[in-house]
Amino acid sequence: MSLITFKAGKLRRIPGTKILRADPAKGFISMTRDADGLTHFQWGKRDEMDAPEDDIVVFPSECTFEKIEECPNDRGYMLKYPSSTLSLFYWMQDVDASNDQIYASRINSIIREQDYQESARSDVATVSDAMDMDTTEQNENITQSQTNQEQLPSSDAQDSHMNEASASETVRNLLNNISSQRSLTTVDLADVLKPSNVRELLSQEGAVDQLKPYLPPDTPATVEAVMEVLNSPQYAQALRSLSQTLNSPNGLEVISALGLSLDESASPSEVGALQFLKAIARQVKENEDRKQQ
Amino acid sequence: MSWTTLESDAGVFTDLIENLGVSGVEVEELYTLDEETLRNFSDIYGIIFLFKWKKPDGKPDGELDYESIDRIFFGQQVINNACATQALLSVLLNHNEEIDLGSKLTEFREFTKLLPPDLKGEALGNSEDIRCAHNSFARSDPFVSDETKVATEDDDVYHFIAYTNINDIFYELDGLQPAPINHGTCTKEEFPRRAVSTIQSRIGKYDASEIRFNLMVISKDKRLTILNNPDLTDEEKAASIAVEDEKRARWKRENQLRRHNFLGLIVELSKLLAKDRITRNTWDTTLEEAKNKYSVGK
Repeated sequence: MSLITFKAGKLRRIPGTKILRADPAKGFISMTRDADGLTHFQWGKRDEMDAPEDDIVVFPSECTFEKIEECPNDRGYMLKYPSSTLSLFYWMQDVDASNDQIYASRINSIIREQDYQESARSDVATVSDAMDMDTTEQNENITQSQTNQEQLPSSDAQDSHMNEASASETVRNLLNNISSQRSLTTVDLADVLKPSNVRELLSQEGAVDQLKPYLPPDTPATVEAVMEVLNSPQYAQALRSLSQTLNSPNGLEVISALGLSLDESASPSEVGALQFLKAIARQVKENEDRKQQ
Repeated sequence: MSWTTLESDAGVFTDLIENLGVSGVEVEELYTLDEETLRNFSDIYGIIFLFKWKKPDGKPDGELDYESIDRIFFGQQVINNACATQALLSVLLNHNEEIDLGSKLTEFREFTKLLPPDLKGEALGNSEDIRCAHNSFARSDPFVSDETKVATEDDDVYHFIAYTNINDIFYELDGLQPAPINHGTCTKEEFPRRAVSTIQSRIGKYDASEIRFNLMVISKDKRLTILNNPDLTDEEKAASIAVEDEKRARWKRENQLRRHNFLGLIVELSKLLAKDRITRNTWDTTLEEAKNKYSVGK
């Protein structure tokens, strides 16, 4: 589940020097939370985000996301570790440079405050404002950048981000924090509601009638006609889009805009489309109870 | 004042121009670029070439014809998302004597006649009528988050070029050029052959892997052509028109689905599902399976 995603490229060290050169490839920096509640900082090419080149678990005490001071066009940023061999360098690819600091502070707050619900509520306005733009690529501004490092990178610099010593420290930190870390779970609504799952429901008495007011115009109230709608690319797109929105930081907004109240008995680690389905189930149960009174 | 992105679909474009008041014209997608296919259309008004554009173009093939700016409708591309609509209008507004443009577009043409290309483009961007017709195709997702858009949509700029014969001269109307490009004289007969070779050489400038594009033909409504064809019997006419009517019905349905807000249906289906599974005591397992599927899929 992605907490933030924005356009960025990699700055790669020219081997044997201290100089960083911008790789022109178009990429994204993305922060995600995995099923174990660990926060990942990722960079990958835009069409390769399912297997990003950089994928690092980040902890509050270890790293920060900062501007590179010596970068000529002011758009170089780094994931900074006390040891510079571990630091990673990127350049912002958004056309609008005024968003750079917004992204950077959001990354830092995600690293510092590893609580999904809190950071979503407080930062959701900033994130969606920042994302609301018409963007095109700045191909021309690829520059070389020189950084002054306290330590020279060794010529056989390690590729793997975590060496043995820091890995065991990470595990210790993880075990210490385990009570405050939460596994976040959700579902893919598009899969739950896929036509094959829903078909048998339609044959039940009153089902098609219940759906009638919500069908597109000129749709006969028959099972076949409804299935045709559910199998259409337009419906599939709407369903996919809603599922993604529910599973994004804007999900809570959508659920409350639909007039659904959240299921209080649901666990706080259940978010997104899962939260939506539980809220629906709650409403259904309430309606049933009311009918029987 | 924003413009939605439009799906590059012949049914969408035909509906769009009809909404603007144009009659007797249809847009059809061209899947193969050859002369024979083009000759199947009678009365081609123009061809539009829509593509996702990755690099600045080199020099254009023909000559920039600044003088023609006074005589033909040529607007510069001002708004990216409006570019398909602008491409359509670039063809239609230059064939006002053959096409029934309707009052809105006739007025727009008159109003912008004396404006230079950049202001013609601006005028299009500011036109309430045109923008509304265009935006009637906005996807009815009230909650599409912009964050999702950033994460999944690529950000290439759209670019359009229209190819059309005006007064027996073959013009290339490219909204990113300062003037129309004159490719020389060309009769109506020669247009298909010239169009094919010009467009092919244009496509040849791009790396095949880099470019995704659509070609659309703007022509007279086929049903009118069939009706007026003296060589066909009444039965043949009826059969051919039936095929066209079926195509139009399909387009109409697709546009209804495009414009429909599915949120209510999805919520109602969710309720049906929940009620059914709760009654059968399988709601919890349904959710568990879905949860497992989601984390495996990640």
